[in-house]
Amino acid sequence: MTELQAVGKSVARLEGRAKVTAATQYGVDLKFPGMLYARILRSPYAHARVGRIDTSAASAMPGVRAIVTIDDSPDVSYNAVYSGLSDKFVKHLVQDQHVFDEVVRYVGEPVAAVAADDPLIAERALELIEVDYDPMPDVLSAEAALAPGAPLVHAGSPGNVVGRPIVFQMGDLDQGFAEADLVLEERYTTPRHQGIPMEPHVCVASWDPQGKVTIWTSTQIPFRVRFVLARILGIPEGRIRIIMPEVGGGFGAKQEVSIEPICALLAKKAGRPVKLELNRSEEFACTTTRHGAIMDLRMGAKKDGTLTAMDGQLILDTGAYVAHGLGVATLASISFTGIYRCPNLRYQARVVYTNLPISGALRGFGQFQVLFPIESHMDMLAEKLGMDPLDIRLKNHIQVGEPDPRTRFIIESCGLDECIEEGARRIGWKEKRNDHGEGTVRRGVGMSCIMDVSGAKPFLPEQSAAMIKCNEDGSVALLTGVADTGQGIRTTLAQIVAEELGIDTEQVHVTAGDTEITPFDLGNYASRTTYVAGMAVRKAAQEVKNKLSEIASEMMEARLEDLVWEKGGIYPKGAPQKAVPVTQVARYAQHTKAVSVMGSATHTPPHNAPGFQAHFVDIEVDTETGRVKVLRVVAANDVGKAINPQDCEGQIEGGVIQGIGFAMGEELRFDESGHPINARFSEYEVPGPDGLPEIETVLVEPIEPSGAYGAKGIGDIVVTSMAPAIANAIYNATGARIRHLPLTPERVLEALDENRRAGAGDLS
Amino acid sequence: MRRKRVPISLVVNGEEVFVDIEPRQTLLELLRDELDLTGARRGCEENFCGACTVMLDGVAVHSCSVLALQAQGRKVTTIEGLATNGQLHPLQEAFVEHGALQCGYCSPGIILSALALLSEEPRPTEEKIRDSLVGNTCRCTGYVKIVQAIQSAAVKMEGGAL
Repeated sequence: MTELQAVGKSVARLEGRAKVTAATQYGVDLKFPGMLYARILRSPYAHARVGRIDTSAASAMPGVRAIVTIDDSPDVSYNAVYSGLSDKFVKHLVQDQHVFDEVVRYVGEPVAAVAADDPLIAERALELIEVDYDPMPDVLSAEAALAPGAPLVHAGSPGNVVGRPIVFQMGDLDQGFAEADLVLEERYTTPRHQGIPMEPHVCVASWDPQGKVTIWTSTQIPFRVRFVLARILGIPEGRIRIIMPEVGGGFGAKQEVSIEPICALLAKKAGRPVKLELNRSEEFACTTTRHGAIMDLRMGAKKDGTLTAMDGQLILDTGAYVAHGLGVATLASISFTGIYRCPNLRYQARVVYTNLPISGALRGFGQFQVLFPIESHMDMLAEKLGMDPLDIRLKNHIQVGEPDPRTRFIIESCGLDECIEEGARRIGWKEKRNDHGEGTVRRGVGMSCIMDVSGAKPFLPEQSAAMIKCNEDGSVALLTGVADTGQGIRTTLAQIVAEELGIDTEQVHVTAGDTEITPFDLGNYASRTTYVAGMAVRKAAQEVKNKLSEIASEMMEARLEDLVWEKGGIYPKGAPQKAVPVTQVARYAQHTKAVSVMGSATHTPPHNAPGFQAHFVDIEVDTETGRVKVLRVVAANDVGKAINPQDCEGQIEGGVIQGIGFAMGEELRFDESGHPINARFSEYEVPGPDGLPEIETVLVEPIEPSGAYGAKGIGDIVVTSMAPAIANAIYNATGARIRHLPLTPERVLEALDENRRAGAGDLS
Repeated sequence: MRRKRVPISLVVNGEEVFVDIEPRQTLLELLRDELDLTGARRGCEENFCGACTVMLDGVAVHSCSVLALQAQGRKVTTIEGLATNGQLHPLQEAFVEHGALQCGYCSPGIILSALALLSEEPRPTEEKIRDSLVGNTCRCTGYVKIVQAIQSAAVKMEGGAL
């Protein structure tokens, strides 16, 4: 391969200048002539039948232009996610949501909405809407929902379990446990986390006289929003245009249809554009969270550390509606079975309704709930077997050439050994493992390994498409359906085009995320865009290159197969002095040949190219206060080829800090009536800039044959290691084991107490 | 529906502005909703996250927690006022170069907090930088590259690039 010019370089963001000057337009910045502002009236009850809704006083208020309630709601049930788009998938979908329903099932569920001349009028109009509620018994935890005789969240779901449990079994579990020299069983819990993108959910809807609606929305999935809206609004996809403005973060929180239907209904009724922007307390309390989970995990191993059996029983709290519930349970099965070889295993997940907000996608999708348990368990097994935690992982992890047992896809690249070895060396594993210091503040190191898919194959019909138009100045326009929510995918894709065509990255003008203009893409989730869209873009660029080569061959009177592309020029083999710049070929094509050079491609990947990571932490634990301080993190990631190393580092650094938040403090909590009690920035512990550890990132780059230039995904995996790594480090420092997140000082003190009672004695 | 408005004047990015506002309006609402200066952003609306940070008489403030009336006769600098003649401020340049932004929503606020810091202390330590940013939350970057960008800009600014 010739030396790469654009791929593998830390190219600065194409939209960087616009972002630092605020020339960008986020959804919150949009304004149109005649635009109205909407607010949502929300249920104060966790479970209630909605009776009469009297909007007469609100309607009479000057400046109020439209009000929508259940009377305006299409009688259509839907799933806000549409986990898959093929008929096969849709057939199995649980469709339990309505825009407005006769029953509200969580505090904050929309009951009505108002569009008015300004947000203040809309807010005041909400106070004038009278709603009769008939409160019903509620269930506010998965345990309560599963108790015999528990009130039902949905009448059609006995026992509050959604559909049938998701089950995956392999080998002979009984035999596997019989063969084990050691069997260990524990219960773990992981909480509801909020994604908290800095920009709230916001959209603007506007109907034209032909009955076509355009919606600008802060989303990760423009094409899937269009698909779900078509069903809800009862119009074909082609009459709906979804446009992504600049989006201020997503992390999974914007991975389903949320406020768009209400906004579209209001805009239609008012006959004017309507903007609906959530405030921060709505963001915390009424948008999707991570599924809280309970996992019972039993694992068996031989004396030499070989795993013989794994049995995991997972309960996921999906809240009031299923949305992503079955998707998380399904993807979690790969997290459960994928990383470590084990011939006998059983995975069983139940998705449970509760009267809490809808659980949804969140970075670490399908990983967090099963890998905190597994990675804690691996350390416990290692200790009981007298092994180093690194060795039990090195011994059991999946290798190149082996199939992922769940998907049967063969692993084609794996840099996990190097991640573990390099991470261990840099953190000082050997030296620090047995040096805990003296006194009440103890030091410890811990680590964890994760494997995560790039894209959701085989569960979703993974696909991305791309179109490239050549401009006569030699620059190109790239049209892609991907959703750039801040991760920088537009720049990454531009680098791939620039590499193929031998032009500068700045000469690739990217338009993304507009369902009318850009070709189809499933959206930004599951660490898929670099892996899936990257290859679509590369193929489209190759088509452009082939067409330009044909033109160049004619221009230069050289044989097509003799042409060499190098450093922005094309020349016949052996005659670099005759090089013609690509820009000149493009100009010749358009103006002399009258040929518009364009390329397009759709790509569906052969499998899901898992990425791997080993993250290490060095911590101290104050055994008097229970306070844990993470001093240093070494984060080693197998990302395949890093198309943009700086952006890969940015993903890792950001993911690690989110992961520390998810591990140490973040948890959305509710009172006994189902109202959230910490639904604000100042009470929900989002990591700030101070008191954070030093982070050292390591990029390990095995070439993944199925990804563009060898690339794989990076987005999701990076948040998942911190919780088990820190829990393992707390154990290493103090001998106290914590199985429940977050790892708060209270839990540390409890675990230390438990240890003392168990006779482990005082630390000092 | 018309609500009572009162006239105020202030200097925004070097230009005197006369505007009628509602007394209840915050500085953030004045900037965003009346003057279309959208670089100051609603984040938490409780004086915590700093997405709305601007400079008021050279001091970084959360504009969601300042009444517009309090800005009467004072000087406000927003992110829109930082670049001069199309030339980015060294802090803006450094944020782009170092990958100190991802979604970019918090970036204007953080850049203005950093500018306030550097005008007080031209070569701050990493600890000082982090301490000075406690009023600014970034959910994307993990802050590492933000600190690096500020350090790099500090060097450039000291060299007279400002």
